[in-house]
Amino acid sequence: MQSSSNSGLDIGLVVGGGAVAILGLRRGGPLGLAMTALGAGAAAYGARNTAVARQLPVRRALEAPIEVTRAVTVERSFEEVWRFWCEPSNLSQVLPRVTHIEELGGDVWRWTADFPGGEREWETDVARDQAQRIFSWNTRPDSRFMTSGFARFADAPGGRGTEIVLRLNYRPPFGPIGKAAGWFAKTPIGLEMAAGLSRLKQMLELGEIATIQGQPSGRSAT
Amino acid sequence: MKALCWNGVNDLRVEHVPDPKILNQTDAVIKVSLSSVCGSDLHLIDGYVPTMRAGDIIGHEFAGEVVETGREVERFKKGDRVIVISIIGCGECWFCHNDLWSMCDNSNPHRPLADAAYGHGGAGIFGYSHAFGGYAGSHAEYVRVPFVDHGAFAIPEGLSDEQALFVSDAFPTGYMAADMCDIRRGDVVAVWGCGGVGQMAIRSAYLLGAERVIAIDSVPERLRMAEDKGKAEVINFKETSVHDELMARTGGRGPDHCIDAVGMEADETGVEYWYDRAKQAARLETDRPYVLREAIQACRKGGTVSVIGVYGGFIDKFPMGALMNKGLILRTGQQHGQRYAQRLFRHIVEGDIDPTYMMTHVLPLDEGVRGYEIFKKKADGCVRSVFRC
Ligand SMILES: NC(=O)c1ccc[n+]([C@@H]2O[C@H](COP(=O)([O-])OP(=O)(O)OC[C@H]3O[C@@H](n4cnc5c(N)ncnc54)[C@H](O)[C@@H]3O)[C@@H](O)[C@H]2O)c1
Ligand SMILES: [Zn+2]
Ligand SMILES: [Zn+2]
Repeated sequence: MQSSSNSGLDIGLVVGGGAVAILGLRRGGPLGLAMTALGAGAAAYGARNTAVARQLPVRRALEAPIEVTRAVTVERSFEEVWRFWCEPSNLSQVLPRVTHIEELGGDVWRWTADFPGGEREWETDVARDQAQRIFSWNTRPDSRFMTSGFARFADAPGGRGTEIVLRLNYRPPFGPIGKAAGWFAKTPIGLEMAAGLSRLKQMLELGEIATIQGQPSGRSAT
Repeated sequence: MKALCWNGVNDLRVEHVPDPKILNQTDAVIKVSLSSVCGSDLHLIDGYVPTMRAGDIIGHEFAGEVVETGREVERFKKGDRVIVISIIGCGECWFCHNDLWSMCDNSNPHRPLADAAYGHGGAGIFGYSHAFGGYAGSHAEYVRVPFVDHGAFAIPEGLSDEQALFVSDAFPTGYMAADMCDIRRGDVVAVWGCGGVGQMAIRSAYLLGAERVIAIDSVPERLRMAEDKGKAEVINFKETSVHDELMARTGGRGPDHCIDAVGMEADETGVEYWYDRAKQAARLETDRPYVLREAIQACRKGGTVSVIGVYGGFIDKFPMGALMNKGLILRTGQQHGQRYAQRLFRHIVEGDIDPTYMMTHVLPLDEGVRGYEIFKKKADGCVRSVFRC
């Protein structure tokens, strides 16, 4: 944690990370994508406010769940966004990896998602607080892993619709090493969350999701 | 169908690929009649734009006929003759509602990728890399056009496809470059680059009220076109010092507005060229900002530097001190064609301009590779090669 008090390093990470991300984009291919992910991760790491982390004792910092936050503004009223969000079939359509969400009653949702290792299922308690404009979920105590999060909604200024802040917390297994791996996973997870929010925005603003799936290219040459 | 595909740096090929189909209900499929090359494609071909994939169909400036529409398409039907704006806008987000079409939030399926590089990614563009959406381009017999109600414009009665074609890209781009200058009566506008975009910037500067336009390039035929068709005064940057010449021609004030219609692959003269070329080759700088530096240096105090030439990444030795201390206004952007299309059609219909003169070479799509060769080398007076598809 000591080194992150060095703001020069943080700035270096932001600029250097951004540069690596762009060079990665230029290179393309799997290596380029990895460079982009790492670069963007480093930039994000450098840019985050390290003051909070520094005040935590090291042990607690290691135990604290990893947190990823992404936000988007949707040109729709809060009511419309809220209605969309509270419908599981809508969420499973836009959230990355999630293939199905089932309402089990008593504010328990069962999530099914595709991961590289195969399909996974877990159950969460969900809390919908329309008055406070916050929707949160938390894995049930008996779950094999821990993830929680919330979506917070606010009116955007100037009639620009609704701001959505999405926060995901997760606790990687395997102690400090897992934590380190978890840090690197922040970038792909952040990218997926951003992609999810972008799809959500498109469903609400357009009623469809922009795509190039199924278009011709020389790769599909006949 | 046949299509011109990018397969790597300086490796284009005409190939057989499947026909496009409707993927979303706001799409249309267009049978392409004319599809033009653009300076932006050279950045792809030369490998300066990341996230191209072998097999990508390129081309983004085109006209054609609607052959199929999705269920939710309202403004077009089979048989309509249209041009399509090269940059894709959804028509429903805050940016589109504010006429900032190239910043559309929703048309780029690869937004998160572009966000990682730029903080915020822009709109999707036809045939212009995966960071810009990965959409198949228009150098093909057919092209799928998403959000067609917002991106396509019916060609007015009495105009040929040839006359309308450049409202797709080069004309609105040049027009926006001039529009960003907020030109006032008596203003002198300097335009770097006399490719298709520069030619249109020259004409647009006059349409928007400039008193004099000075155009800069080194290709004799392009300078001649700027003089004859654009009524610009010209400077050949290979023959004289651009800065000294601009000062001499503006009483030492400098041009009121400077338009960079060259972008990241500027030709430079002398030491500076080798400095930037070396850094670009070593990837220490991704773009060669020679024109940008020259424009900032030359611009009148308090004037506008309007950057419409494309930059992709990082530049070096950016004269921030000059920009700040001279109180310059820096304006930039990919073009918002949807904002300008009707206005530009009116200018063409009323006879203020007929952009057809930029179409110096017309070839069948089969000769796409040769078309790009001629264009890239600026051989035989080429300003734009246009493919009949
Ligand atoms: N912003 C947009 O939406 C948009 C749209 C289309 C094109 N563009 C960009 O506009 C630029 C021009 O496009 P084009 O189709 O006219 O390209 P082009 O390649 O036909 O023309 C570029 C011209 O710049 C000249 N040039 C090179 N170095 C110069 C220098 N140092 N000083 C003066 N002139 C110099 C070249 O000789 C050439 O004639 C490109 O960067 C292209 O990517 C931007
Ligand atoms: Zn173009
Ligand atoms: Zn939009």
